[in-house]
Amino acid sequence: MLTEKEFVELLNRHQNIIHKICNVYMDNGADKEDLFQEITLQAWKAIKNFRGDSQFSTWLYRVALNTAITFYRKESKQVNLTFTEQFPDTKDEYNPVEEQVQAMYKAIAGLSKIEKALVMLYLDDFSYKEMGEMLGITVTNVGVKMNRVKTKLKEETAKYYHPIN
Amino acid sequence: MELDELKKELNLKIEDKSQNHSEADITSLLKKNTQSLVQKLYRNLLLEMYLCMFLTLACVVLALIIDDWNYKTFFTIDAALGLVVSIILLSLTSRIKRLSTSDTTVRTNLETIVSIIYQYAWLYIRLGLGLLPLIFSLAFWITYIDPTIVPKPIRWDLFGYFLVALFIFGYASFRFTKWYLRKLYGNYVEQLEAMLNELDEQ
Repeated sequence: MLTEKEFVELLNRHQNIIHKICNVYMDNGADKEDLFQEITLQAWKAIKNFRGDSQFSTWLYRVALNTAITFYRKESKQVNLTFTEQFPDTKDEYNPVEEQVQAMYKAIAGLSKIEKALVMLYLDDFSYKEMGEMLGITVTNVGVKMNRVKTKLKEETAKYYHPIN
Repeated sequence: MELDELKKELNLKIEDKSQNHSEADITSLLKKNTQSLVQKLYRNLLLEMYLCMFLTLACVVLALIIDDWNYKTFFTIDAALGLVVSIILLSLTSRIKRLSTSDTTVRTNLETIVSIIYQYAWLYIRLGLGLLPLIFSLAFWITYIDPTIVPKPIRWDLFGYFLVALFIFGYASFRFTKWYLRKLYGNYVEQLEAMLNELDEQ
C-alpha cells in the first residue's frame, strides 16, 4: 500500500497521461482542470487495490479513461462548439505538418468518447489486445473500430486541412 | 493525411507539458471532493442510509416503550420496513464504493454505473414513495379496527374517500419521482447506454 507521498510522486511522474486524456476529452481550461482533479481523486481512491500486476502507467490509463468517459457535465453539449476556439497556439507562418496536426486534433474532438479512448490508446502504442482488455471488447472488435475511426479521421481531417500550394 | 503519419506530432500536441502540476498541487487536490455524478449519488445514499437507520431505531424504541397495541404494531411494521430499506441502501453504497476503488474495464464500469442508477431509481419509485401510501393505509387500517377510536357501524363513504385520496397521492408521488429521477439521471444514463451500445457494435 502506497503512502500519500509515494502516490503523489508516482502520479507526478505519470501526469502526462492524465493531461493527454484531459486535453482530448475536455475543451476549455476549467473543464480540463476539473477532470484532472477528478482523475487524481479517483486514482487515489483506487490505489489501495493496485497490486502491481500491470505497470502503473497502464493502471492509471484505465482509471483515467474510466473517469473521463463517465464524467458528466450538464453543459457538455457545448463541447464541440468551443473546442476549436480553445485550440493551443497557432503560428502565423505556414507550417504544413503543424496545420495537419491541428486539423487532426480538431477531427479527434468530433469523435465519440469511446472512439477518443481508442485513439488515445493507439497513439500511446497499446496493442489491440491491450486495448481490448482495457475497453472490455474483443481484439477483432478493436480492429473493426480502429479501421472505422481511421477512415473517419481521414475524412474529417480533409475538411479542416487545406494545403497552400 | 493518416493518423499513423502524425502519431508523434499529435502525441506531443496532446501531451502539452505546460499544464504540469507540482507535487504540492497534486497533494492539495487529494483533499478535495470528487464532482462525479456517481460520487454525488454515493454521498446522497450515505446520508439517506444514516437517516433511514436513525428512523428505524426510533421506531424500534417507540415500539418497545409504547403499550398501546395499535401504535406498537404500527411502529414494529415501520421498523421492519426501515430495516429492509436500510439494507438495500447499504448494498447500493457498498457497490458504489467497490466501483470507485476498482480498475475494471470500461465496459464493466459503464454496466455497473447504469445498473446502480437503475437500482436507485427502482428503490425510490417503488420502495421510497410507494411506501408512503402503504404506511398511510396501515395507519388507517390499525386505527379503523380499533373499536375505541372509530365507532361502528363501518363508514363506507369515509373508507371510499380514503381510497381515492390514497390513489391520487400514490399516483402523483410516483409520477413526480419518475420525472425527478429522469431529470437528475436520465440524460446521463442515456449517454452511458449509448456508449455500451457503441462498444457492442461490430
